[in-house]
Amino acid sequence: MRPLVIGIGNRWRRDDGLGPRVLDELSGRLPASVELMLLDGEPARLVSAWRGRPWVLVVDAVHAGEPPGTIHQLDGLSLVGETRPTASSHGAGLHAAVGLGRAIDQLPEALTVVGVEPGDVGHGDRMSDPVAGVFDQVLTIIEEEVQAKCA
Amino acid sequence: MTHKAGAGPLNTAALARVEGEGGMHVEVVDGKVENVQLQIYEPPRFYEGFLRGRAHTEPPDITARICGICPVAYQMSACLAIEDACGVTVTPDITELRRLLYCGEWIESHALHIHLLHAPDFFGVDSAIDLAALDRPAVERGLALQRIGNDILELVGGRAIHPVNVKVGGFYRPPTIADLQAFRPRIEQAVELAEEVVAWVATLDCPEMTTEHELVALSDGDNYPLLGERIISNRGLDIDVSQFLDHFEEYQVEHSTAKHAHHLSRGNYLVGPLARFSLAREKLGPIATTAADAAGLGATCTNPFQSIVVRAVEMLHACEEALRIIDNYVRPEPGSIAVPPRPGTGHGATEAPRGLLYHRYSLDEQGLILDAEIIPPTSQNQPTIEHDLFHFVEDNLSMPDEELRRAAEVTIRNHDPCISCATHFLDLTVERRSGVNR
Repeated sequence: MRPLVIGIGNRWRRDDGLGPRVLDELSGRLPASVELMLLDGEPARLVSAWRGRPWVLVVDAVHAGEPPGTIHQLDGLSLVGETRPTASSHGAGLHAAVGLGRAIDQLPEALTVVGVEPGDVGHGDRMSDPVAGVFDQVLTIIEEEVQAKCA
Repeated sequence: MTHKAGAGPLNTAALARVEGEGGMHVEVVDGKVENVQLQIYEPPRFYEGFLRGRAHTEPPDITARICGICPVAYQMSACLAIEDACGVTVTPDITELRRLLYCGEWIESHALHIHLLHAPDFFGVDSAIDLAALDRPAVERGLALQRIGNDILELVGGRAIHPVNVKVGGFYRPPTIADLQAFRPRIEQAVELAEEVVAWVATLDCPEMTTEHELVALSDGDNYPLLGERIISNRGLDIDVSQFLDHFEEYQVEHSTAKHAHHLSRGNYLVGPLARFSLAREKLGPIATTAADAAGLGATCTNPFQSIVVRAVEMLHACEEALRIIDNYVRPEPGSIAVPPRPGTGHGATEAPRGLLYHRYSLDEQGLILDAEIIPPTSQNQPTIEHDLFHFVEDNLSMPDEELRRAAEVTIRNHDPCISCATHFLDLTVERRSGVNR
């Protein structure tokens, strides 16, 4: 199965739109072997999307108590998988999905999470300045990750 | 959106999508429950407001954004209401394809609710992750069904989340017969899996409870209700969808940003699986009927805990119905019919997985929307859920607060409200005081 980049988020909730906007920008810029997919963070859909894949990258707005615009990059398989939401702005989504995938042996072989600490997830279609300010950097990180993993 | 510690079982999978928080406030005076309020803090989203001035062709795409799990329900109710306003009736072939798309949504939504939200309650665990440790094949089966529902949405709707192939008047590009026949083996598999799910949930130990509320659902001719033109109840209601607002009213409450609704003369009522099943059991497909019999369901079902069994039966029915539609499929030609605007008001209602979803639009001569009203199932059920909670808390007031919170969440989850998705956790406050200090 092909490597996959998943964007999670709601483009009408300001910084929560990071994932969809990244997919917009990456469309056509990544090797054809890499699939792009927009998801809403619902765990069952995540598990269905990534099971059996050699490598998956998830880009999402991530709450970890750091200043807005802080970029997080982590090994998704290291997430503990508990149901309490501690990182993803989509509640238990990513944690629960990793836990669920692990429980039924439906995780990808490798899982990278790239997230940005949101500043504002209110209604609106514009990202806040701190997140917009690191947007290009996020794209670069993902492109480098794809190059490293899919070379 | 914030994340707080102390999250309980409500923090399971399907909560992940929507921003919002909620709480339950219980007022106890001199050891008696005075008030129970289910509070939703999600800021108002003003959909009805910003639909004004938009073209009559836009509501299916705009209102689909209201919910990530049941966008088809919003699209279907919107299409029916706009077509009603414009005096257009689509062809039977288009209606059948709409039903197929809706079956996909029912399968996906019910599979999620049964396996990720509801079943863990019956096993005394917090989540599907813990459930998988006890019964991994059941969770795998649930996810397999969810995927099949998802794939129906993609096949007919273009994509699973907020489908893009739906338009007022029909579809942009209906699937071919070959497309659907190629998918048929997956649906056959879904029927088998769903039969297993019904047998599985039938073994769960459901506490005794009876809801006394009026049960309200669409009537869809000889079909189990999905799309329909009449609204019926177990207390003799039988009205055209266009009369909905003559009998029901949505209203605001101080303690929640989510609206409530009631029957104008009879008060609280219940929509959703229990209502549909109790009013239309005889219209289930033959496989679902046999499974319902084997699961021990009677002619009606008014135990909210048994809604897990009813949902499983409905999921099986949706699989069976999808198979029937595929086998009889005639590709709509054209895929949609013209819906020229005209001034007027139109009404549409369909059965979302959670219950009846009503839309009303008024259009001007150019087809611009003058006024819109959307009454989702959760609004309609919220007073009923509060009522159930009131009695539940009254009967269990001696429980420690944490235990009470978890048990109250189960009571709420029985009804699968969208607030369970919109709410990261249930923040319970119990105010115990003496009446002397009032």
